[in-house]
Amino acid sequence: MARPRGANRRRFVLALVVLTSLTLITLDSRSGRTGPLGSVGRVAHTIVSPVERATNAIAGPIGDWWSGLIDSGKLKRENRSLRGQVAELKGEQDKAQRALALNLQLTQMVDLKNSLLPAAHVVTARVVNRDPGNFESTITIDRGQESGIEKGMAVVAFKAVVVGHVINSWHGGAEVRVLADPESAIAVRTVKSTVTGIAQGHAGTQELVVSAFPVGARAKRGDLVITSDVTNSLYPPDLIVGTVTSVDVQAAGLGSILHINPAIDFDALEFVDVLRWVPGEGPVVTTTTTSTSTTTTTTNPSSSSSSTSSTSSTSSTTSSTTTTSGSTPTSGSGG
Amino acid sequence: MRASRVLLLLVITVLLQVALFPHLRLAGRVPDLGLVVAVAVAFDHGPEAGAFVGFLAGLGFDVFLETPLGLSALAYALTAYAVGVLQGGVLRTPRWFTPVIGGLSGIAGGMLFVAVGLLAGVDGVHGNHAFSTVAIAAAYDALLAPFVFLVISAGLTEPRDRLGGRHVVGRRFVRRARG
Repeated sequence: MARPRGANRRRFVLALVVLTSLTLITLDSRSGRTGPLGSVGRVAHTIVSPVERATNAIAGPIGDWWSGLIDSGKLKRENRSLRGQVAELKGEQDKAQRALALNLQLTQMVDLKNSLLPAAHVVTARVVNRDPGNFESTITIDRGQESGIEKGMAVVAFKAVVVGHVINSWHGGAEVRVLADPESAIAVRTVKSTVTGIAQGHAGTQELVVSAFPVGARAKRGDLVITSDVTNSLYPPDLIVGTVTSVDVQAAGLGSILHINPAIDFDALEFVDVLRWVPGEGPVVTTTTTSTSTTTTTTNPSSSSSSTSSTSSTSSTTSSTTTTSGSTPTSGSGG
Repeated sequence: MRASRVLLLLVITVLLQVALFPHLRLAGRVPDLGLVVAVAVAFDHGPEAGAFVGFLAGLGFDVFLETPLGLSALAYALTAYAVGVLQGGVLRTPRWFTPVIGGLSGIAGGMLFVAVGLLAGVDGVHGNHAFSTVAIAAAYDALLAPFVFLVISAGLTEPRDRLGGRHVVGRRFVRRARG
């Protein structure tokens, strides 16, 4: 007996959809977003960027109201807890004074104003959106390729606290993978030690975990964790990552597991700074020379960075604001 | 179902999902608006139309995610297709049914996403976090479902289903039942 045409048609549609999806998943998993699929994504981001900015302006207050509505119980509990903490702190003025002194000391230690930031061409950007999905931790900022922001650049807050790194940029915006993302990894050490470990994000929590911190490192609860000076790291050294909340010592000398509370709440970020920092080379220092006939753009340090030159046949003065960054990493994780 | 209306529906769905719902989270999670839309289309217009809309809505959403392209598309399309097929056996649906459909579809679609994501090597879909995320997102889907079903029913339903070239499934079954 012949099958009804409708049943065959249904199966054909189902098979077509499944096969197309599986092909796309395979292609994207193998090649990443570097090929044509990545271009489609950047074009889509470029188109949606103005909508995201507008929505952020409008939906921001609505979102705050919504959060207050949804989390009212949590806010009340938090309020009670904070009142208790305030009362406790009032009775511990001396501890607060010591904490302030320590804070000042640490800030001076990792202050980048005198070393890194002036040379690194910091681009300040506003956070306009957060991860649209449920299984990743990213933020979207309102500055992108037009500001020289490229994939792989480190992103910080308050000039010295690591937020994450740029994983995609387009005209008018960029996507930043925050440290809490499961695919994020960063080389860290404690202030008191030079031993390096790799901190990774965990799904569903903002906590970072160093799964195999060497035995001799002697980390303990409350230690400040900073970025380590590792070759080809996405992040400059001595940026603040967070504090150690617990240390689990493993048996048989396998080292310890560090649980790190990030120094910032990634969900509460409003502004961030993108460091134009080339992994393995240092800060991008761009000099642009413009003359009536020749425009030269040079990136320093120049061991493997690019330089471009163009010649104009006309004698008119060319105003150039072009900057060329050095090589950018292709790896998705930090390190 | 006019192609232009479907296109408009898809664009609005993706824009809302990408630009608005990240600001309106429920316990830190966003709903699967594309999935609910696809299920609503499948409910009104049959499994093929649902799978088609689910595939396109998922693909549009995937472009903005870091998970592999096609993952949401597959999950949405298969879920909508299944809902369309199952709906064929239902003659009348009470009003309370739409949130249930939305919630169950959210769970089914979310679990499909997690399962295929695990096979594809996605890091963020491991452990209890994945289950709690799917459950909360499904609850959000259930809340949205009545509104989405209403919009789809009012905005897309026409006498003839131009994508499928046939009468809508629900009407066909009602007519068949009447004899």
